[in-house]
Amino acid sequence: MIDTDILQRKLDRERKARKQAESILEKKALELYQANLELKQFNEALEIKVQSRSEALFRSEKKYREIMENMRLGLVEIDLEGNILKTNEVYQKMTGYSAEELLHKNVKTLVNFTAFDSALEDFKSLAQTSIELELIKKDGRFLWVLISGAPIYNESKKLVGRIGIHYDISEQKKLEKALIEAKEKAEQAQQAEQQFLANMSHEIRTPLNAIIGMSHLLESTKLDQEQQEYLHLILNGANLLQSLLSDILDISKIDAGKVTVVHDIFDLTEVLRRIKETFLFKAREKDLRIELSIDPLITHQINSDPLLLNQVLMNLMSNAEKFTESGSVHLSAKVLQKREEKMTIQFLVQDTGIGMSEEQLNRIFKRFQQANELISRDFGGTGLGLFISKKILQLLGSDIQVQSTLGKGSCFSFELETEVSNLPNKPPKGSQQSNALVATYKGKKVLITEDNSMNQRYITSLFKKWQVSFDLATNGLEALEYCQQKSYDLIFMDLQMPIMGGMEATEKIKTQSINQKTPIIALTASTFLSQKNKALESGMVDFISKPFVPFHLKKVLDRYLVQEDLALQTQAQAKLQSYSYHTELDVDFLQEAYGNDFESALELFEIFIETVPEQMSRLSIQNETSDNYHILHKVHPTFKMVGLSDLSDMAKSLHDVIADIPSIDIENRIKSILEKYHKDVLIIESEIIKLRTYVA
Amino acid sequence: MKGIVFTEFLDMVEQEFGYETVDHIIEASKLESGGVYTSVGTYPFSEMLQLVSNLSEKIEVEIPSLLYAFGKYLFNTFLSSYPAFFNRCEDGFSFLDSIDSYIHIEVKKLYHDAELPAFQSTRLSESQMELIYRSSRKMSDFAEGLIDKSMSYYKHDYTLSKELLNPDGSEVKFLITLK
Ligand code: HEM
Repeated sequence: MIDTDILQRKLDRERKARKQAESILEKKALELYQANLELKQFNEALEIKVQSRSEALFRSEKKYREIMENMRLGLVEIDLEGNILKTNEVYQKMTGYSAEELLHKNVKTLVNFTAFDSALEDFKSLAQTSIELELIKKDGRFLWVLISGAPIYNESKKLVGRIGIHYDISEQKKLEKALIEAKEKAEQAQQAEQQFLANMSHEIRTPLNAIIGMSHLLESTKLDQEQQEYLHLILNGANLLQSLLSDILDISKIDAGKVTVVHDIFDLTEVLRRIKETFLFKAREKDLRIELSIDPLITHQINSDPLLLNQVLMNLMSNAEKFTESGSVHLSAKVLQKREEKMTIQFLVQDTGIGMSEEQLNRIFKRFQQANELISRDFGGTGLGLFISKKILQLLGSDIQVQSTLGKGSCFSFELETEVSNLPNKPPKGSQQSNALVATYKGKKVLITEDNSMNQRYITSLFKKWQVSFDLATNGLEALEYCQQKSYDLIFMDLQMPIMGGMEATEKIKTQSINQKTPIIALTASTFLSQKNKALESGMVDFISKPFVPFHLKKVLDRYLVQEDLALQTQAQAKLQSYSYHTELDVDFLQEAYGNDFESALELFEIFIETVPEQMSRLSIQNETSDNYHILHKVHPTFKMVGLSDLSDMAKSLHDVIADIPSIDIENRIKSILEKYHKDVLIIESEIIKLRTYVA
Repeated sequence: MKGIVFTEFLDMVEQEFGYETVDHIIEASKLESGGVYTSVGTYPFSEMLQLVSNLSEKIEVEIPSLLYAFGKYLFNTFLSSYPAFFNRCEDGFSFLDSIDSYIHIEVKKLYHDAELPAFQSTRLSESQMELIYRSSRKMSDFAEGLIDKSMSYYKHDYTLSKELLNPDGSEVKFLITLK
């Protein structure tokens, strides 16, 4: 039983508690009301804020939209498959479709570009990319646009599509196209120019070939002294014309970018020694030492362009030699830096010649300008050599330096960075001995294909002289017909001919005749390498550039007709122990001079044939006495070197007295020297061929 | 301390021992509130201590056991008043995890003057959980009652051990292991 007091207290407590709770709740309700009020105010403030924000947003959106519209940017939103979700007015105008038509169309159907899928892939991997594409408009026309893409993400940062901003670049494209066309036109024009040069060179070389060739033939006929002199004037002029032509063509080749660097691994020391030997021979004519120093660090073969390097060094050396009457020309190669596979070599060509003034120095590398006109008159040449050297060195990544003091000498130098191979240099050539048969063309058949009648006569008369049996075709078609009936050991093929050209004929002979394996040699007046390459591509094995001298032709005959014979007759070779020079030559002297080193003999004979005819062609009774004196001074020792002792004596004795005797005597003696020379030179030519086969 | 704790406590006492005992422990204490409690009010924690120790004396039961029993009792109140707190958890461990990270946070939101303990829970393994109680009110026995009820509510077979990290009882480590 519960006490009533207790019950009273319980009731009391509960009433009080209720009141307490009521007042707490009332207070809370008031708080709540106030909180609500505040919340409402906050809400209102928030709403105002949101509104102004969204207005701002709307405004800025509008602003950007306007910018886009003003900039005429087309906008398209696509999903991951490329289906269009949204477009703007500009995009609609660009494509020519309405907004409704575009909806759900796939953008791939709107572009003229197969690589578009990969571009889309790019967009998928969030990368922002821009691409140039052609849009296909509703009417089927195309529009060039630059598209810049950006990924679109949903709230949970998942990639859901992309937006493409299109910019109309058709104007730029038009411009670009016009520029490309203009460039192509310019290139065509340049090509036309080159073609013109090639044709010109053909046009000039063909008659020049005839002139030189016929002159050589004339030489071996009976001529009186006067006729001989005229003939040598002709040869002199033709030779000058030829060297001028080849210089000009060199320049135009360089200008046209036709000269390319062809790297090869070669023995630099061998190249340098050969250059020295060449000039040693030339220098015998005057009181001039040719010196060569090679850095002992150059132990291995290098990787560079041996032909271009040789051409530059030859140019510099012949320049030095030309302008130095006495003293020395010093060629040196010095290693400036060597690191495992790389080496920097400095080349120096130093002479004790006439030197140049400051003002002359400034001009020497320019086209067609020599240090002074006097020099150019005195020493001949077109003045293009240094310019060509400078250009070639630029191709090799180098540049030419020059130091010079007037009256003291000049020094040309350049540095070349090359790779060093692991091949050691060859030891200098000793006297190697080999035996060979005398060249014979017996039983060999040659086909000549040549349309120019002068050249025909030139070649055929040479072949008759050398007892080569041949057929003559005047165009490619005729050649092909011959080749289908007879088999030949060698075919000469002119490149430019009517009815059927040389290349086409070669290709046909290689496939449709019984002469598929016969070596075919191109006869070309074109000096362009590309022309020659084409010839080689079409199946020809070699080429002779017009104009050619008998020697060139014979070289080729030997290479393709004689060596094969030799290979068959190695047994006969073994029996022959020694070589015998032509009996007309000073055999005693030659044997004393070269002993068994027939290679050196051959080299000197070759150098002789390369240099002396040019000098001799300038020997003339119409010259100033001093000019003839100089020529005789230069040539008389060289005659001796090839065993033409009588001729050498004739030249020397005239040289010694030329200033003191009457001009009529000079005239007669020059005539007889030339007469003898023209006979002797043929002996030298055939001697070279004999020596070549012997040495090989 | 929140009024609900007082009203629930007194309800429990009335239920177990009759209103005389309620009246007794109130009358035996010197209470600022005069023993008048409403669940929405807030009262000094010291009053709770007085009530509990008076009850202990009266019925001759140790205070820890009383608090443990009160914890168990209060669990049922929580269960019927706040079913949402239980429904969001699938097992005992995740429910215990949620005291500190969720339930007491919600409580604090509702009663911003509530004084709540800190619970630091760590899952030692699939079957073991460590729960560290920290509070200046030293009511770990009350917590133990709540923990036991929670675990059996989720129908777990388990053992519960208890270790004082601080001798005064303000820091206690519970280790609950599922069998
Ligand atoms: C639905 C679940 C729960 C609710 C609504 C709840 C609510 C509350 C409230 C209102 C208080 C009083 C605070 C004050 O008076 O200032 C409290 C205190 C307390 N709660 Fe909870 N609680 C819950 C679950 C738990 C559980 C599962 C535990 C067990 C570990 C626990 C442990 C405690 C402890 C020990 C106190 C006493 C205060 C202290 O020790 O500092 N609570 N809780």
